[in-house]
Amino acid sequence: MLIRKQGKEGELLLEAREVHKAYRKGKHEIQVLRGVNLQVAFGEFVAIVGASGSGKSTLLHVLGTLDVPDSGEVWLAGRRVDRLAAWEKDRLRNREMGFVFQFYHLLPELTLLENVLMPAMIRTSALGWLWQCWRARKQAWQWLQRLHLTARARSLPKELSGGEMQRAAIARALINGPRLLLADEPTGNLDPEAAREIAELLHDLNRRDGLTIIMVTHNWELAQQAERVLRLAEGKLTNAASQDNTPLVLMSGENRK
Amino acid sequence: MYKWLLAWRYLRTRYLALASIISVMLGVATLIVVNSVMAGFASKLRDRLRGLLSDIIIEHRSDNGFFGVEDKVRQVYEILGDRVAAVSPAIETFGILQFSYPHSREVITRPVIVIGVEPGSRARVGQFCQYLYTAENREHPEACFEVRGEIARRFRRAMEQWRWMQELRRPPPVPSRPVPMAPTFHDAVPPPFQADPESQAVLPPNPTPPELPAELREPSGIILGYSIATYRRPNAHVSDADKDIFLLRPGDRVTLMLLTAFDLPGHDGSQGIPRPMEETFAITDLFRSEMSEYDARLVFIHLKDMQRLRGMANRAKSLYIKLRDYSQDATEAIRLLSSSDAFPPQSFVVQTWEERQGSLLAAISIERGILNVLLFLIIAVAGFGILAIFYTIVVEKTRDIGILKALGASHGGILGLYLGYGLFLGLVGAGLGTALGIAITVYINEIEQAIARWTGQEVFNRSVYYFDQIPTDLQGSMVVLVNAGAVLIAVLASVFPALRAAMLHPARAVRWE
Repeated sequence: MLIRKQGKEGELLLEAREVHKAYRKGKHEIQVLRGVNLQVAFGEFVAIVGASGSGKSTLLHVLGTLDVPDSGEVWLAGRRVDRLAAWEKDRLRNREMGFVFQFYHLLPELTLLENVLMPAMIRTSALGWLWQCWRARKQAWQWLQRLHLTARARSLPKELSGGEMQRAAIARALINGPRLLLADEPTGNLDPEAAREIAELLHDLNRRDGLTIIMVTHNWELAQQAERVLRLAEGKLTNAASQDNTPLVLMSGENRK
Repeated sequence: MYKWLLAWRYLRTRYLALASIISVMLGVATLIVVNSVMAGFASKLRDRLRGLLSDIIIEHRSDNGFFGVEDKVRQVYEILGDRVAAVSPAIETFGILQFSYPHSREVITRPVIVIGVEPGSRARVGQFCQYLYTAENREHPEACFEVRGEIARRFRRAMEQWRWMQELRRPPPVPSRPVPMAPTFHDAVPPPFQADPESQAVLPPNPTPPELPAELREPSGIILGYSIATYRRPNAHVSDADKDIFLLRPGDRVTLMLLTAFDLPGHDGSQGIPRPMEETFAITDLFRSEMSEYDARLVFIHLKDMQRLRGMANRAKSLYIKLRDYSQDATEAIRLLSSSDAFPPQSFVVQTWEERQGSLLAAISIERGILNVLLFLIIAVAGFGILAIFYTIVVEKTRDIGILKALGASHGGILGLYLGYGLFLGLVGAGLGTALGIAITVYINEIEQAIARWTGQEVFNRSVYYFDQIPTDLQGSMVVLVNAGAVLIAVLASVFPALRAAMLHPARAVRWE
């Protein structure tokens, strides 16, 4: 088992309370988030949909402590995280969360294996790495096996296909055994075949391994993979409507594959 | 860990950074070469200057010198005790040297500095004997003014020839009776001058030559500066064996003119004013310190001859003192000597050799200091190059920095990554520069010759500089210092871009396209 179970199903993992965030663009202030409330339980798979520019990524960054809300609170496993010191946030991102981005964001100088190992390297000091390296490598190798990437372990990102890069990014996000996976348009840049593969993978990770996932997308089909779909519009989260904008009532299991 | 891995990868994959490596490398190499050459010049020059003098020089302020050489030498030993290794008296004065080169009747006159020395003791206070041209004299310096053996024979032959020339040039005696139409003068045309003294056959057998004066039969020896007796063949290559043409050789005759010392009224009918004295000497050796200024100016004769010629019996102008341990005892010795009654300051100047050559040595060290400042500015320019290049790299890498932050890298980690990158750049540049600099320093003479061959322009003009080869002195401490400075500048130059990288807002950095 590669993912540790950190909590009971149904227990609250992440909570956002009245999160506000504004951006300044020149003289204009754009209110992106206007009081977002969100509760995510352990083992849940939540999709957030919305038009581009609606603030989905900003919300994800705020939840992932990459960005600070102007007001409101973010709680992770019973601990308020939005006002933590920088080093504590770094630690949190390194150990408790994994990020997957639309453009994969692998480091171009490193091989696939080194990219996957990066969070483990960040976690330890140079000296500690001498002790940890073997274990981390073994773990990384297990992930590569599961994601069918072992053949490409020594390749540089530029030699990989989009699907391979995104799978590598997922492996990287999970190497430190996080509680939460934050995915930002994970299939946005992939061909349909690879997109389906990633969608299945996320689904599998959630169902089989009980990984909590918050995914931001404007791809409705992908959003169907989630247990719960929310819509971000005008700075607020609402239960998602269907593609033709009629309210969507989410039932567990029904819209899963 | 990731810092070092990434810094290493950046170093290997960012070719833009090569530019800063090269600039550091060139700066370091230049500094090493220039410092080595300047240190080489300085140490060789110091060596020569010190060798020509000695540790401490006591000089009388008057050109007439002091009386009682033995007494003063004894007093030096009494004052300094065990500290003294050797003492040698000397007289320095100006003189006019006159000679003619073989194959030429032209008479050449040159102003020179004449130094009267006691060769035995002089060899012990400095490196006088090591600069002598003849190996035999280097080993037995006390006999270096003796005219003997081959030198004496050559001189005698030359004198015979010269005497014949004088004889033949003498106007014919006025005949008692007028001889009609008999141009006796033209009959007495001298035989063609023969340079080779071996072919004695050309000497006219008759009439019997007049006796030579005593000073010409048994001449005193003189040692000429190398550049007085030779000239460098134009376009000669340094490695050529016959690059220097000898105009005068040991055994040749020169005339030296000196002024007598002043305060000798009544002596020899003098009025107490300097009178010119001249004497013919036989060259016994050449003096080659490789310092062109000295080699072209200095002439050595025996102290006894100097005293005799200048009417300075039992007098000397200066005392050269060699200490057993210069670095330790010099200050104390100077203090003791200048405060003693034997050498009152109104009559004597007591100096170390460094004080004596102070202005020259100071000029060299100032030159070196300024050059170092200028060259370090070059490395500083390289530093700004690194800064600019780094800044570009940070902007280019903004998204990667955002990713690293998303993966949990801290401010300090990112800062360390870019500082480490700067450190690597500095280390690699300094390492390559050190290798290049040492290689150039070691092969500098070969390189100079190659450049001279290609361009036809001599880089290191031997007639201007003191030494035949470009002297170098590669000092380990200097190399370490230059390297440390270069690496420090490289790291300092990367501080600002690294800070900017560390301060990047993670969310904005991740979105960066």
